[in-house]
Amino acid sequence: MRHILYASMLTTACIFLLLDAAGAQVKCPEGKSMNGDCVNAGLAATMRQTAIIFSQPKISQTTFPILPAADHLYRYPNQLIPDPLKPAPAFTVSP
Amino acid sequence: MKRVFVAGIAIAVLSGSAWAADIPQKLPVKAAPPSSVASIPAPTWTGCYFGGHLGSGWERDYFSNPTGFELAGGSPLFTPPSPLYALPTLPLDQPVSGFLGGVQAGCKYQFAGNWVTGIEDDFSTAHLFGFRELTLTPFVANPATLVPASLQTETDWLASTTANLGYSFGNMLLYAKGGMAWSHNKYDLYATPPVVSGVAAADFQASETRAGWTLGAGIEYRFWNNFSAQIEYNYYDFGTRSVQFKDQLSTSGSFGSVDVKQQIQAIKFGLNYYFWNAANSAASSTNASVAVSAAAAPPSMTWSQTFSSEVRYFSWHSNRGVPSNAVIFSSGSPAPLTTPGSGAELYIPYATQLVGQSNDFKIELLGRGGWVWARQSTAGLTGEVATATDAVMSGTITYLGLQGIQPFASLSLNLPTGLAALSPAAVNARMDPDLVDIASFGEGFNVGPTLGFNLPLTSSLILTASVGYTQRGTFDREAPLTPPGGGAAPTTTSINPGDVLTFTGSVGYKVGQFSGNLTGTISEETTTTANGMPFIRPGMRYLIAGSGSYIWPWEHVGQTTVSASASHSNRNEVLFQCLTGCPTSLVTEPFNTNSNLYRIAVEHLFAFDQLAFGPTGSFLYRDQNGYEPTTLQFVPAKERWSAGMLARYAANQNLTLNARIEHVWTQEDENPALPSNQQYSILAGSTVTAFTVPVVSSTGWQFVVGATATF
Repeated sequence: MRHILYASMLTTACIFLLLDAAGAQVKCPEGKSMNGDCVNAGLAATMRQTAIIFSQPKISQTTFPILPAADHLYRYPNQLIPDPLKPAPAFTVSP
Repeated sequence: MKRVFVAGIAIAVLSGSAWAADIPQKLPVKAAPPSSVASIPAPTWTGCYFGGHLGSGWERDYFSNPTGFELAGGSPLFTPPSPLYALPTLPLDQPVSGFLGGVQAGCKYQFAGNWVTGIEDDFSTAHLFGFRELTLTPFVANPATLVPASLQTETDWLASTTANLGYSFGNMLLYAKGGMAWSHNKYDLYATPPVVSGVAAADFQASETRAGWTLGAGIEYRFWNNFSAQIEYNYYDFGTRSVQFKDQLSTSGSFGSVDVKQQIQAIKFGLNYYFWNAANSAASSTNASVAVSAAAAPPSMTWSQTFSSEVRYFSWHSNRGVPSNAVIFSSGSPAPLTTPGSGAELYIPYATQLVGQSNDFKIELLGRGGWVWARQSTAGLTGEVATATDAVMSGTITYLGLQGIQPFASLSLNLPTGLAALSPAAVNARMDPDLVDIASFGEGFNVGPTLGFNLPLTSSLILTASVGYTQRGTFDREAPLTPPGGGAAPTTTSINPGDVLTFTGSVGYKVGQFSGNLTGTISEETTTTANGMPFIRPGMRYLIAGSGSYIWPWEHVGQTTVSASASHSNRNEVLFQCLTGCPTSLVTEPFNTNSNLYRIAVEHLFAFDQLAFGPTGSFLYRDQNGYEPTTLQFVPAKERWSAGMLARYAANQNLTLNARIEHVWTQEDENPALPSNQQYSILAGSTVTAFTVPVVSSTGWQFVVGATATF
């Protein structure tokens, strides 16, 4: 799975370069919607950041890759136990 | 009405809410918009420079093939693991990490349009330090005689001579480099046989300089004509060398040698001054404003930089310390530690973000680090630590040239610059993260690629889908418990955490004064191993989170934001340990030890010109007792309430100040005794008497001040 994902990223990068070569002209800071209007830039940026953070729930035990001022937006949903990385090697013996 | 609207906009920006980001960014809570950034003509990179750098490094030193290392009397220190005790001996991995800083100088030459090549020398003084406790069995005839030992490793300088090749995007240069490298290392192996053995202590020391090769990549950004800032990753491979040790405590001279394989990774933040630059020379001679050929300028991309930092202080008191069911041993029997608990933490995160925008692409780069001091003052559970935390980095590229879909690719990294394994004197500084900000200061090298896309159905209705994979690296963590009976503290455990695959889907909507979003994820994780043995495979996890904001249509009333989330995990697969007849592979646990988590938070901000302030509150609920077997404890069902005030002040268009004060209450339900009134201790290899922990009530204060500046 990991190799598939890395290969997908490489493919995506190549597609980006090809698309760039096509020279598409965009005047909107976050691109255009399906009907051609400029996308609400803040909404689009936030949706992208949310997707990345939620797709990497265990990238770090310390912090997500965001500015400190945004910590409170993402701190809790991914915290399941006080120390999520403390694994459970065993459980109690049956009586 | 106009003032109300302006106030609404101001408060939305000041709130820092994710849903305020679409409003014209009068204040730099998020990345600065292109409109606030001047497009700087692209310079040529041809020139020479010098500068300095700071950074973090971490390495793996692999020790193998020991010879010599004899204690007085001729007992070899390193023997094969005892069949009775199977205690650690060589070979072993020694994790090493710390800070470095130094100077660099070099020259660059731009050619064929945007290509840039050059050479560079750099030297870093370093404090890359590793410490590991070992328990050895040198007395073959009596393997029950254990010898505590410690292995200390330090790299105190690094140097390299490299050639580099890069590609210029105007003010930004992406480059790779490679060349020769050197390191200087010091080692100390200290063994203290027990007095009853009649053998004296030994202190084997060594130092060496070794040569190897390095590869790296980085980003350099030009500003103020002659200055540049850079961030760079370096990988050093110094191969395997035989290192000669000498016992400093032996009068007759005792020697040993061991093969040490050394690989170092480093992240450096640098600042350069171009004392000679072809662009400036050309400009002065031709009176041209910018000496850049047309071929060197494209593609046009504007950049903005944001720096953000906060100082956070936490203080708490409780009727118990952390962990709440810590034990003391009286006459060999465990009993609860009932002393009241208290502690404090100071955490200073800092981050810088670089956002580039062109017609077709948006590039977002972020680097973040931190420093923490934490201390638990609970009698019997005292511990203190001061350390850098792990650093995280991320880069995201979004393609904007398609109508109706904007695909993006992102790569996030966790760099092990913090302390993963705490010493016995520091381990109790891990406190409840519902009362302090962070309870874990470091782990391994994690790599997290993400692929996804925004699908804007309209300008204000967006669907987003993404998939992320997190490959998590191995790290050492202190073993959690002192064995029953008060024996020697256990050594560290090598943890290889499972990788995580996560699918995410979101919908976001904004119209008028209202905005909202809803996000759902499904995560699956592979098996975590401890010391190479399968340990746990967490159950599949489901999470849903959403928020909504409304800007009230009255002057100064401001904005209300409500957010909520819930998560659930299926049963884990765990290593079943019992007295006899246990399965050796992971089995599905008979009851779900994962607690569901629910949280709701409300925040309201009043707006007065450049100032926004208001109350904030939250409620968190863990619905059941979950088992946390590394400490042989239940994680009790828990409620957490918080209430406080927050304020943000826009000093000007480029600087925002913020402050927050909160009071926190937590209450944990009774920690149940088992039906058998016993718990199984992995360390003791048998059951121990259990006891019931009463309701644990804690209170705490949190103070936060911070600033965000855009350049």
